[in-house]
Amino acid sequence: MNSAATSTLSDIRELLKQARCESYLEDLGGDTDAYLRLVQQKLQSFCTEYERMFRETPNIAELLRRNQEKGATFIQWLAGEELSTDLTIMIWRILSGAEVLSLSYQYHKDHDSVLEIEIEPLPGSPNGATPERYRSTSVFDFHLLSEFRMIGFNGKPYLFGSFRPVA
Amino acid sequence: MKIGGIDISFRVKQGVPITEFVLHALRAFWPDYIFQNADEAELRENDDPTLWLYDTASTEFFVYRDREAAESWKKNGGIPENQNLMLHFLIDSDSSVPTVAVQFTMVVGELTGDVENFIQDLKRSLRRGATIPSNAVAV
Repeated sequence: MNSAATSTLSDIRELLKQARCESYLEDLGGDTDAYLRLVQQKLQSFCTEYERMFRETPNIAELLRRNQEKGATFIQWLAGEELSTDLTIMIWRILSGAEVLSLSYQYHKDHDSVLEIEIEPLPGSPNGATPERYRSTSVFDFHLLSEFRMIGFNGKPYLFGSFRPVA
Repeated sequence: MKIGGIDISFRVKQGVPITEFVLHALRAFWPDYIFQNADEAELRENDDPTLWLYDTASTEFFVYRDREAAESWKKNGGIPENQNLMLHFLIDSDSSVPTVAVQFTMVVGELTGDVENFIQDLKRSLRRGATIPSNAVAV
C-alpha cells in the first residue's frame, strides 16, 4: 500500500484490518464499498498532495510493517475522522519527528474557531528551513488537539504531538 | 559494549508512548543527540525521519550526547570520560502478564546535576503528561 492510487478496495479492507480498525465497517451494515472508496480517496489525496509538497512518497505499508502502533495510529486517524488533507499531512510530518514550533487555537462559541500549527521542516524538505504552516477552521481537525502534550525541561515548555491508536 | 552505571527505574502507565516521550525530552537536553537501537549498530541523527517513524517502536536503546560522544563510546567503551555522554533506556515489554504499568529503566554513568535534573523532569513529565495514577508510579 505504498501508492493509494494503485490499491484496490480489497487492499483498503486489508489495510483497515492491519490497523485494527476494520470494526469501522461494522457500523455500515452490508454496503461497505462506499466507505472503502472514501478511505481510498483520502489515501490518494494524502499521497498526491504529500508528493506535490515534499517530492517524496509516504510509505504507509512500511510504517505498518516496522512500527505497528504508529502505522495503526495514522490509518485510524485517516479512516476514522474527517480530517482535511492538509492536517493529515501534518500528522505524518509529526509522526516523522517534525518539532512543533507554535500552536494556537482560538475558540469562539457559536462562531468560527481557528487552529494554526507551525512545525519545523524535516531534513531534505524542498522548502529548506522555512517552517511549515497548517491552518484549519474545521471542527474535525480540532480533534487533533487532544494529541498534543506539554512537557517541561529546565523550566521551559516543550510541546509535541503524540498520536496514538485508539484501538 | 561494557556499560556499567546506575539504574534508575520507575513504573509508567501502560499505553504511554515512552520511547517517543523520551526522544522528545532529549531534544531539550541534548539537542544534537544520536540514537542507537540496542540490537543495531546503526547510529541515527535525531532529526532522521526513519528514527521517528520506525525506531520509536524500540524498547531498548542508547542515546549519545552527540556524534563525538558516540564515536568515543565506540572506540573506548565505558571509560570514565564517557560515562555521562550516553544514556541507556529499557522498557519492559513483557506482555505475558496483564499489568497496568510497565517498568521503565534508565542507566546513567553518574548522577551529576544535569543528568539528575533531566531525570526529574522526565519523571514529572511522564507522570503529568500521561495522567498516571499516583499508585502506578514508583518514584
